[in-house]
Amino acid sequence: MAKFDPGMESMLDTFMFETGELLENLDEILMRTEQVESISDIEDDDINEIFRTMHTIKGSAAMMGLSNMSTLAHAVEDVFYIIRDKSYVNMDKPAMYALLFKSSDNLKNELENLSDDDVPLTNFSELIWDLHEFADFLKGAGGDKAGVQQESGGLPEGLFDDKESSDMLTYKVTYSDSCAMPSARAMVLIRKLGSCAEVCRTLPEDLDADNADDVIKSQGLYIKLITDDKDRTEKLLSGGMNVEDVEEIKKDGTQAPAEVPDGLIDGSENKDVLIYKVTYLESCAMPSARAMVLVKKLGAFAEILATVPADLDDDSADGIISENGLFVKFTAESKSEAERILSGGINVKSAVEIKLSAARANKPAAPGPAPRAEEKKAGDEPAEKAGAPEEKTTEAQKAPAAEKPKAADKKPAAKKEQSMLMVRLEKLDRLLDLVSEIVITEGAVTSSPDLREHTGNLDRFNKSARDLKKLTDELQDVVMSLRMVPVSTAFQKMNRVVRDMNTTLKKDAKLIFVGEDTEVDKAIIDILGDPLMHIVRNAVDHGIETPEERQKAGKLRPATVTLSAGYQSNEVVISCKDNGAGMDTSKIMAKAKKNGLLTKPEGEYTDKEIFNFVLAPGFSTNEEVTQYSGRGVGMDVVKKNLEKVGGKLTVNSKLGKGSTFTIRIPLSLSIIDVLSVSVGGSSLSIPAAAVREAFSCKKENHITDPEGNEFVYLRDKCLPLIRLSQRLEIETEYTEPENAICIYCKDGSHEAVLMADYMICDQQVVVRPFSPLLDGLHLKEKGLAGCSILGDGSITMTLDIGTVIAGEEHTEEEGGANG
Amino acid sequence: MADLNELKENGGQLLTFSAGSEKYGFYILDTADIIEIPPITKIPTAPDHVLGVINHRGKAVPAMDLRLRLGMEKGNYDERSCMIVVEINTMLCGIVVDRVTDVENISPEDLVLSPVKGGMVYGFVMKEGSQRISILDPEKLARI
Repeated sequence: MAKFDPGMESMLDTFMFETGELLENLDEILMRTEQVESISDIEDDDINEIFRTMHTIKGSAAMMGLSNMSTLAHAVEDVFYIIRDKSYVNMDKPAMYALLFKSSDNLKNELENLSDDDVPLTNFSELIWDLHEFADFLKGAGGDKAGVQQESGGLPEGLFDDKESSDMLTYKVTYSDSCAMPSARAMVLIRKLGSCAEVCRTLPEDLDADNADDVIKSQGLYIKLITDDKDRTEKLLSGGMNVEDVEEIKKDGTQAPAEVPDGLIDGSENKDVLIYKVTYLESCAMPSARAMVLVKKLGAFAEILATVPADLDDDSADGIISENGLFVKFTAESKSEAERILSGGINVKSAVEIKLSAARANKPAAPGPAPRAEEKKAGDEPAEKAGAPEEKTTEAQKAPAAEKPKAADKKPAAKKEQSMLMVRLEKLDRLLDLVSEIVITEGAVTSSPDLREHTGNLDRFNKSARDLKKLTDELQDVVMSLRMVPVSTAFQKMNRVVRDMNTTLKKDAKLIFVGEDTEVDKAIIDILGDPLMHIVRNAVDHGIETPEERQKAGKLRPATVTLSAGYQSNEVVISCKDNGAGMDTSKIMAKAKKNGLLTKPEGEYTDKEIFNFVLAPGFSTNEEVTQYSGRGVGMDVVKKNLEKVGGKLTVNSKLGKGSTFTIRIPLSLSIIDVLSVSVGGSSLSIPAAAVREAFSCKKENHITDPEGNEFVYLRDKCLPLIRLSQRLEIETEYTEPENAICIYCKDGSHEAVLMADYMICDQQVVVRPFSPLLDGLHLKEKGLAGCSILGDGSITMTLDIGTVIAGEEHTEEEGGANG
Repeated sequence: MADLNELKENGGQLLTFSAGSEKYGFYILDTADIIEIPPITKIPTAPDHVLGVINHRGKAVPAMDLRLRLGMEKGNYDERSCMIVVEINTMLCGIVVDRVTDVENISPEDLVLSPVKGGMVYGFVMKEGSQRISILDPEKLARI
């Protein structure tokens, strides 16, 4: 059975993506806030962000039917609820962060396991229990818990006057966070109220006072009034600008039970009947239409008994729903199912259950006495408890309260969404493909052979063609930039890696970013993730010494790991530099010898070659195997993975000073500049990035050694000559280098001169890998990277220059024998 | 790719063609196009039966020679020879044949499965009074 709700399968991708992003974001905030001295120094924004993040995760996990994730998120939310309200009495920061990181990790793992049916849903109950324990600890365990909460979250003093009349009503109005001047809004609101109610008093009393804004923001605005038309007053209040929430406050400190419209409850309901209040977003244009759809959907799972407004088709329905919300009364076999449908409806802001008992209590004219037990939790908002029984008793009180954080989290999110749009990567890729084709087709049209035969005047055509070219070029740039993301997304994840390793390995490495706003293709970011992780881990584990060792070595500067990014010609260069111990060439050499990696006499190895041993399979100089590294698997895999996408990994190090790992990846993975040459009638393209020089070779510079190896002497270098015709088994009449064209290519540390018949042109092509049907031909290993369709419809094969040049070393003898 | 087993169960249409003196067929749902033999770009180092790649509507599609693939002699292709583009799990492959002959309806009874499982020939159509048709499995044919 799938782990999540089967109907939600289509949402799975979005859920995983969004929650993943949120968790990354959360990690970042946690990391930042962990530096702060004490919890009270954490900025409110950060606390709210964490709170909101957990809340969103809770909500979406619940929507997916993933109750374990949802409950865990809920527990974290509880902890932060206390922190947000500053109602904690005890604090243990390290313990709290340990718990938070653990929760975040657990959620991340769960997310990864989601798509794998074999891995069962994890039971988080232990962690949740820990979180609850911790929450209790924060509040100060035991008796004074209630007192503390009352003090912080309770009603302001002096709100209720013993002398005030019994028909005096008290409302608490909460303004949205984004409201700039709530005091001004409040003044307008009170003036408006004057039309139907007599406002006796407000808190803060002086709305003109300088601090009124702050007071309203932190505590809310309390209005005491007397009115004959309670409904209208409430409507006015909740309809006020920027008003987020209005609650009626009862003198004894309880909130008014959920308001249920007349006619919804007739007293005949049995206990199976559920009543939900569904609130739609303000931005929802036709809530009645949405409501109809929602009720219909719900109808499939539940028996709808009544809705208020009863007639959703009625003209006034929209108004009623947007003001009072939609009330649905139904019986359902699966409550959670129904709840999910309701809260998952389009534009639904919240769907809150209204307890029958609470609703009934409200029905009699006199409000029912609130049970004493609930009082301590009332006031601002009850600390939400995950435990099922408790949840039930507080449900009614939760109703208005639960709406509040939701609204708070919706609003800033909505603001962000306006300027951001999520698009599936496949769609972007398709777009990129299409644009590439357009660029090529444009070339085919404007350089069509038919035009050459045309004798008339082509001025207008040429002008339009130029305009078209400009536009297509721009289009191409824009589409390419769509896929660009700053490398910081990949870097930021390393923060967490370093933090964890610092804690467990008792090191004190600092991670520094340089050029993290360098933008690269999304595909590159995806590729970078794993290699970076390995390299950073290695740097902290092997490179950086413990503080004591550093002191002994006389290193005064703090241990740092610097991640930097930048462009270099057509490549993105990412390097990871540490100022740690560096690598000892003699140690590496000894190990390489032991592992039988040497291929030539020891003395002939350059430092660079020695460091490259580190990237060989099964190589690790660290004697101890730690949790993070030391098994020697990794670096070779990293290297291989990078090479797969045309990237390179190089190492440099200085004993005692530190090591640098450098990754180079071609900037664009799709469109590249190539130099096209002809060999025996076949069109071959050499990536321009590798081409250093094209020249015709003089006879005296062409050397053949006694073994038959051919070289070209170019200026002061003797370079191996690779006949492309020979390498690719193509027959050609151009057998002498002096008639043919020689192209000096350099790929990383390998260089060679390629010989082709003649040059065709340099051009831009979209390199497409060969059809997987041809996998059996191992074309890549033979030096062919893929093929590209050119403007005239013909096809050129692009060389994998690395394989062609590097392969030279292995096939030298064979080539010599044939030559 | 259409499932050949479906053909065995319910019958269906075959696109038949010839190479040498033999008659072959593809399940019609496996075929995407029948085109004139386009210019073919050779792939260096590829074996003879892989003719190269063609530009099929802006996509580079590998092309094979049916005769050579089946181990026959190279044919003399004329203007009536053509290329059948087959689709294998959204991947395309062009296959050059001597002649496309017909589209034939076959019923499950006509179809005899080849005892060789996983070979290039999936089965045969044997009908009284007409030539035997070998039904080819395009994936086995195109995947090298």
